[in-house]
Amino acid sequence: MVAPPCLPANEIAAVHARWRADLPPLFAADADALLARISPPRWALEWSLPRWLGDALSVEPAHSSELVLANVYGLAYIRIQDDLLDGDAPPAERVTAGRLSDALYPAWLAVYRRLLGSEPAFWARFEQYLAQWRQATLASTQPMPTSLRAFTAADFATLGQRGAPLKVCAAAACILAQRQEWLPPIEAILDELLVAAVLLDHAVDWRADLAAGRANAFVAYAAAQPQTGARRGANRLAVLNELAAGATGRPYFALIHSRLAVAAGQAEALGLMALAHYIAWLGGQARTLSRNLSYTTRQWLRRATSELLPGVA
Amino acid sequence: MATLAQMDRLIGRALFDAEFRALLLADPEQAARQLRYRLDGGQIARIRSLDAQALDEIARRFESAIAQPVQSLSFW
Repeated sequence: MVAPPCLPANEIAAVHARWRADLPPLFAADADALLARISPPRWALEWSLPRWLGDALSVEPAHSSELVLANVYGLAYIRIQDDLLDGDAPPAERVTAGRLSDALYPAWLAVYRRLLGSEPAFWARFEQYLAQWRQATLASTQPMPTSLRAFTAADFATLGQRGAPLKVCAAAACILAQRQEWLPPIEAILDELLVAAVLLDHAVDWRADLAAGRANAFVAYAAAQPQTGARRGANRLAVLNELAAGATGRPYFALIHSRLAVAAGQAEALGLMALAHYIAWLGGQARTLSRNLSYTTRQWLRRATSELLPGVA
Repeated sequence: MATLAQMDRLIGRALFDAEFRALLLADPEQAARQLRYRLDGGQIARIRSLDAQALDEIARRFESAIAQPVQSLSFW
């Protein structure tokens, strides 16, 4: 995988040092393990977005560094909450995970209190984004529309709002820079990007989601049937049939690209070039995944058919 | 005579579509017509000699082959 655009190594190391200093030593081993899982090249956007926005808005560099730290604390907290809800945390680790998230949440808020005090414009947005995340998380436990064609704009928006906490750093940067008029267009860019990113994740994770009984947009696209326990086997076959004999997901990936194109265009129009470059990188990842899927499928079927039908195929 | 790509599509469709598989094994010409393909005599005879177990094995291997784990890109 080509590495995404990201913060320089020294900035990442600085966050690592603060993470270790700020979190209780009691959880050091678990905290370090979590930090290793969420550090670049993974989570490149989550680490880098505050710096990219801060630079574009002329936020003091030291404040942008604090926003990076806050983002890492906050999104690590969100990740643990999501894992606990999805049942992805093994039972033996749940208590520790809960305690770690209990330590991360106040550390997250403490950064913003240092930078913004009780600024109502910020905290109102903070609560709004967390409410969006909670709503989207609840919606993820409910049935999604049967087919992707039945998705409304609100359904796609709800998908993307699993990542709504990412927007907190945008609100903070805009308010620190005293350029709040930038926030609505930045929110719009992130909303498009988040929808595309979630759709891409669903294409990557469809098997695990199906096995775990989690609603998945790629399954909705390929199977166009209710995603119930009773239909799990049939839906799995429908996705495999789409890959083996259908369009190998091309319309689905076209939808991802259309969203990314909107986000990239808006980012470029605002002069947020670092973010635009990241969006282009993500588009490249989606193209690579789609092409590899098509190529692998074609090559595999060719060999299989030759093996099954020697002499005639 | 069906092209190589068309033969691939016939087999691909038969891997995970039980109804189509049954039709292909019982009546290859009819199955091919569904996809607007035409088979020659040799292709028909060879398809008729296939058994469901061979297709099951290919389906199992296909699923393993294309379901390689891919690193998730973000925290969502």
